Amino acid sequence: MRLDSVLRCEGLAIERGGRTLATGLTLDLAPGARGLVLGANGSGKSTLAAGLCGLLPLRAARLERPARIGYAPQEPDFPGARRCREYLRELAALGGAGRSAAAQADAALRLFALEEMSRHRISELSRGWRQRLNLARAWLGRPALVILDEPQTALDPDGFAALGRALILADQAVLLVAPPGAGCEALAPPILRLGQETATR
Amino acid sequence: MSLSLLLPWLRAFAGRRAWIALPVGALLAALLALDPVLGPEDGLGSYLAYAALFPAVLLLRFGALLDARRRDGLELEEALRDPAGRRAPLAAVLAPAAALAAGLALCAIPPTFANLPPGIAETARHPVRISAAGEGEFRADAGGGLPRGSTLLLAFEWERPPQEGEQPALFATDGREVALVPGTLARWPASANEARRGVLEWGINSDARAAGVTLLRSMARIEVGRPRRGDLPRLLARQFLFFWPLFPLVLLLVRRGRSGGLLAACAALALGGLAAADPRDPPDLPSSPAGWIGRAVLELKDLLPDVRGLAAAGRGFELRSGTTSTAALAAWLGLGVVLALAAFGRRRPR
Repeated sequence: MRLDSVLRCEGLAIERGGRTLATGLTLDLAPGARGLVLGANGSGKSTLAAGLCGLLPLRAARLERPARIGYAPQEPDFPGARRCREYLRELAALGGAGRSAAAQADAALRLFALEEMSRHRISELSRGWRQRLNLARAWLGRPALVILDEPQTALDPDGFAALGRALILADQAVLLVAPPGAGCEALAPPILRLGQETATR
Repeated sequence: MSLSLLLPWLRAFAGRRAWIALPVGALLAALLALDPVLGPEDGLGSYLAYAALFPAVLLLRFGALLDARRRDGLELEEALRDPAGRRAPLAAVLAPAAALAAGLALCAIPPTFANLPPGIAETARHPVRISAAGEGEFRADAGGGLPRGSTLLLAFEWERPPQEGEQPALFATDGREVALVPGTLARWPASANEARRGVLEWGINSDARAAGVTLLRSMARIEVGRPRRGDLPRLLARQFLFFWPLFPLVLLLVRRGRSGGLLAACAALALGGLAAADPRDPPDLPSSPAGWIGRAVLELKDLLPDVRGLAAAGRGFELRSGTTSTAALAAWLGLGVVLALAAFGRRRPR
């Protein structure tokens, strides 16, 4: 067991609606590392991602995670009437950015090539651009760990390239969850297959 | 507190048309309330009643925005970025306070342009209930505190004029005395204590009783100073103090009680309505389930600080305006602070 893990879980169980989907899982992610959790539909990937972020209760023998986690949910909600940059600024301020909120918002927009959309209302964005905003939102404020739930969804080749670039440039640990064959294997090495054996990276 | 957190709230309060609707609404309210023919004397009270619509609408808008923020995923982002639950609730407390203050300040402007006729009476007179408190002793109960400087006006019937050497008068146990003169109204100024309690007690001395003086109870009136147009900023500031604690209540119900925002706003308005209610003649409630509910509501009202003076509006508002004691005001605002603090803390999204 490494001492420098940013995310470490042992004896992890995934439960949804009173049903246990998986038990005895182990996850270990070092700072700056990439990892991919693979699983078919209904295997509990999204439940695991939300649980690791602290948004759902999670049962584990041992669970260590950073205080701040960036999260891009599979089905993101947005305030449609708000403009992208202004929205990210608010989120940065919510995270305690203070005077650097605008700089953080700009950095996140730049990371996913969203600058041209920065003054657009979110309701005006296509699904692909919204997914980029979802990813930018997760990276906002440079959290120690970023968890992306099916990040490839709705991305065009440019968007997918931007995601790949962000994964190369970012120095945070990134955990992706996706179904097999969705293309995410090219972005990060699989460290866990739900319903199969557990692995550690 | 970062402006980036407050601005989205303020923009959302304003909406796309609210900052046009509010001045236009305030102008219409001023035209309607302060019409020189329709209501030159009750105009200010009417205008305050119209102005009170703004905080009520803002409260509902606040509830709707809390609902919208949950739908828009901001609740989830708050759980991720502000796990201690400090910055988001602070913004949700400060932003409506700022919007309320700005809106009410705007409401203070239109009446200054109203063209009121000269000669509006500087005082207003209101009927008051008088009861006998003993032989030749009486008690006037205004059903709540009275403004400072209030005076009780009493009319008497005389069997005969006072004889030489007789000095008919009203007296109080604290030594105050007011001479009675046939054919004139007796003016009994309320002491500070009497004004605070809204209860005035006095007796008729033996010389007056010898002259066969009879109090005409139905003609008794409380005379209070009529606030002027220049008092409007102060009156609107009282409305701010009255409405502000209702916003933290909505926030608490939504964050801790898991209530819908609009429902929480309606509950807060109901509580505000209860605090502002002025039942001068408490009804004789029957002993039935409806009566029990009525009694429970009245008992709940008794638990609340008496802040009727902050919310006074409409016809005859001057009778209650400014009667809220410092203790009641501190209790009401303290309640708001406690509710706001209770709304802070970690929150798990639904």
